[in-house]
Amino acid sequence: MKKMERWANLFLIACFSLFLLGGMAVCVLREKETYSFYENRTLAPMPQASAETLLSGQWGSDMEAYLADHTAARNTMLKADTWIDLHILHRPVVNDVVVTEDCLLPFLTDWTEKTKQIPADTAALTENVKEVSDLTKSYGGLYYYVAVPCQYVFHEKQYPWYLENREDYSEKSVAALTESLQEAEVSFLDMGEVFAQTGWDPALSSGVDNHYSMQGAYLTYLTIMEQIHQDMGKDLPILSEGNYRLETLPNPYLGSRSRKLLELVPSEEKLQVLYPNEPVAFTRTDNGKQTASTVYALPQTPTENVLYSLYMGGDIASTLIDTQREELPSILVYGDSFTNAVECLLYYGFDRMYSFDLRYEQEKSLGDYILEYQPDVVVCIRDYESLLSTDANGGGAYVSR
Amino acid sequence: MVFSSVVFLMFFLPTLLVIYFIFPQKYVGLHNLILLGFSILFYAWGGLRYLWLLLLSVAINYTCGLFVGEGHSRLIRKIALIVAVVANLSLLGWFKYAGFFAQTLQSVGVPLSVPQIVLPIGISFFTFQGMSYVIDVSRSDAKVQKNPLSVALYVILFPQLVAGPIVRYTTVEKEICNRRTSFSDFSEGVSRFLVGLGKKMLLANTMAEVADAVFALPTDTLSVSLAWIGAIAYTFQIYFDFSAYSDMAIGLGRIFGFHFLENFNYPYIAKTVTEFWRRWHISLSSWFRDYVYIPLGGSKEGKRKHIRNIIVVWLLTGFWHGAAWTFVAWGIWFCLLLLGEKFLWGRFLQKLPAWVGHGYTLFAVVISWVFFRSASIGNAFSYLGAMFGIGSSHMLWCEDSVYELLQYGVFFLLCAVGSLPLVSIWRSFCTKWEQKGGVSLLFRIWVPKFFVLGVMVLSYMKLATGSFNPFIYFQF
Repeated sequence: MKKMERWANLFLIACFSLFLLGGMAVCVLREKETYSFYENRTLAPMPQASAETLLSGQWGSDMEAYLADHTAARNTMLKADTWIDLHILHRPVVNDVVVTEDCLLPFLTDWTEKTKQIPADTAALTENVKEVSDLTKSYGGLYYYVAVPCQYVFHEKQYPWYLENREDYSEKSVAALTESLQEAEVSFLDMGEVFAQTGWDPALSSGVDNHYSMQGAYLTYLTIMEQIHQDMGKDLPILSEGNYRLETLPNPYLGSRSRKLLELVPSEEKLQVLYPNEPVAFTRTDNGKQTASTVYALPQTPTENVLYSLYMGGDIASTLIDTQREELPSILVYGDSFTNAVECLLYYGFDRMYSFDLRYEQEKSLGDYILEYQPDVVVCIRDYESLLSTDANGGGAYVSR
Repeated sequence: MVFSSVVFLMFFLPTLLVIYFIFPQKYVGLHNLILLGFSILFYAWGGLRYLWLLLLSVAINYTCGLFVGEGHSRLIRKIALIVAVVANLSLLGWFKYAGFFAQTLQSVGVPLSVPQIVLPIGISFFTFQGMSYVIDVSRSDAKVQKNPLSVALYVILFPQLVAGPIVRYTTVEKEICNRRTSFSDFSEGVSRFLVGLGKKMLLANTMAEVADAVFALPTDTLSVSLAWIGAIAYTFQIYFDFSAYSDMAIGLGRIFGFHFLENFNYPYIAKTVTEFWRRWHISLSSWFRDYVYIPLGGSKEGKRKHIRNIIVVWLLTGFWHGAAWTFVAWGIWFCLLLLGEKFLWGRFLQKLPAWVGHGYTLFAVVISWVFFRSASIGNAFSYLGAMFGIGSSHMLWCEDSVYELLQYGVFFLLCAVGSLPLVSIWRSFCTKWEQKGGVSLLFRIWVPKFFVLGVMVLSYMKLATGSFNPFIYFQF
């Protein structure tokens, strides 16, 4: 018995020592990544030591954060932990994703307090949006504020009864904003109404990502174009039925939810791209530099993952698509990432399409751009979650600097 | 630095083990120097700024220790003892309580500015530990340690430096100068350390998610069930967090040849509050018993003084935990219960079935943790109101309760099971079945080893996927 105990003790000591020393060796020797794909964030950099940071303990904290981000087998452990939560513990929420039968939804925090703030938030947003609208109208332009249901709104009935789906907030915020913008004489397009008329067709939204599908983007594009056509009284080229073809990419689609679950929940969903049957030539300039004349960042191979950033190449500070058709009006688009898929279609009907992501803009304001380019149409696209937000994406807080 | 961090597990500990064990065990002095150096590094990792305080504390206790021992006049010994106690308590008082007292006085109209003082990590622990050395020497319970490095090692030894247990000098007096680590010691130390790591990473941190979420909600929105879920989650969190640290400290001590005393003895199986306090944070309760309660007279000077002594100890115990009225209220709660058991309902309680005692104790303890966790006394009472349906919500159930149970139910069960004396249950199971010829020696010896290795892997998994996770008792 003693001999067996001794062997057992030695075995345990050996495993423990191997774990410690092996872990240290891997931490030191492995090539350091700077970016975590699954978490979509930059990993902590190696901290620089200084007298101040050593005295205060900040260096120690930063070093711990750095090592935590670069520890041995981190990605493997992330996958193992997620797999256990999904398949052994069967937790309803894994990595902040609600796993339902049909889709992966975001885990939503309670917005009871935020719902109480709707009147104040609506008033603040209306003031900002009206400023942009008035600025646009001042030189004869048209302005539209477009609200698009994000994934959790689309699938709010899919949430388990005990989880928050923000139905109350979504309904009240849209109703409040509709009324407020109407009073302020700002053109407001609520895509929720349009999607509702289709019976909330699942094909319009993604089951694995926050955004809509290309079909949802197309319906949004169509709604905007029809409104512009109506208000402008001008025939603009529109990608109506029969004028385009929809291609489904064979690549696996890694939506934001499935990315959070480290691709451990398989999905058959694919991304689609829409091509006009009669293409229009254009030049594209991103952040002042000319780039490839394409609106899609297509994958190199049919097997690599595609992300929502397929559309327009993701969020870029400023983009200009120039189709050299001076007889057509110009358009300026801003808002959150829901603009990207729509921009792939919008350029078709305009001479120039300006697109701004004001989160990256340091020098000029939205108002500066509008005055500089005087686009004939200005469109803001926001999803329901950030509908009343006056952040940089909304542009409203930065009308004039 | 915390034990459950990559820097400790992957760098500090392996480096220390290699350097320490590379030298033969007969070089105790060298081993002590290595441990002392690494312990200073361990503390300084949190900031060099307060290292001077730790070293000052060591210097005070070492110097006073030289004069409180036999061989000096009674007067000198008394003065040295007073200097040690006053100096230690002054340091603790300034860094931990000055801001609190200033704020309290300010709130009643006294024109005082509130000093912004950063609480040095572990000050409550190393101050009490240092004081206990001087007091034990003055009582001739321990011999004067003339080697300052040995006193420094006793106070600064990293396993128990920042969150206990409060190790008495007499416990480690001999081992500081003469110790050996056998394979069995090392293995048991590793097992204990890994069990502690598992308790922290798998149980305490998970319960913290529940407790933090529920306690963050406005109390008027809490249903009865959700309030209880939050309170029970915190009950588990604090036990597994704190006992985990003690396990890891004891395990690490064992690896290096030190045998610290147990700090927790399955407190949640207690049948009375009195028994609970013999099982919870044993090193602290025994410290107050030996250095406050007994010197005040204990139970030997009449009922009135007995009650007074209990009140003093429990006020101090509450206060030791934090500079806030919630901790004082927590101490008062237990004081009332202990007085009640001693003088009112104790005997009646003993006659009741065991399950009644368990239920009563757990109920009292869960209530106490609400005070401990709450941000203010008002908040604590508001939370307690929600637990008993007195709050505004008046709801028994809510969707959040269902979510928390579905999301964390397995962990609540694991915590409930983990609160039981599993080691003794396992041993008696093995003994029983061995006698019946059902369990082989192989099973009895190897299963625990593989169990702790499994815990190690799962704990590392949580560590690699988590972020910084400070222990609760660091704030003391």
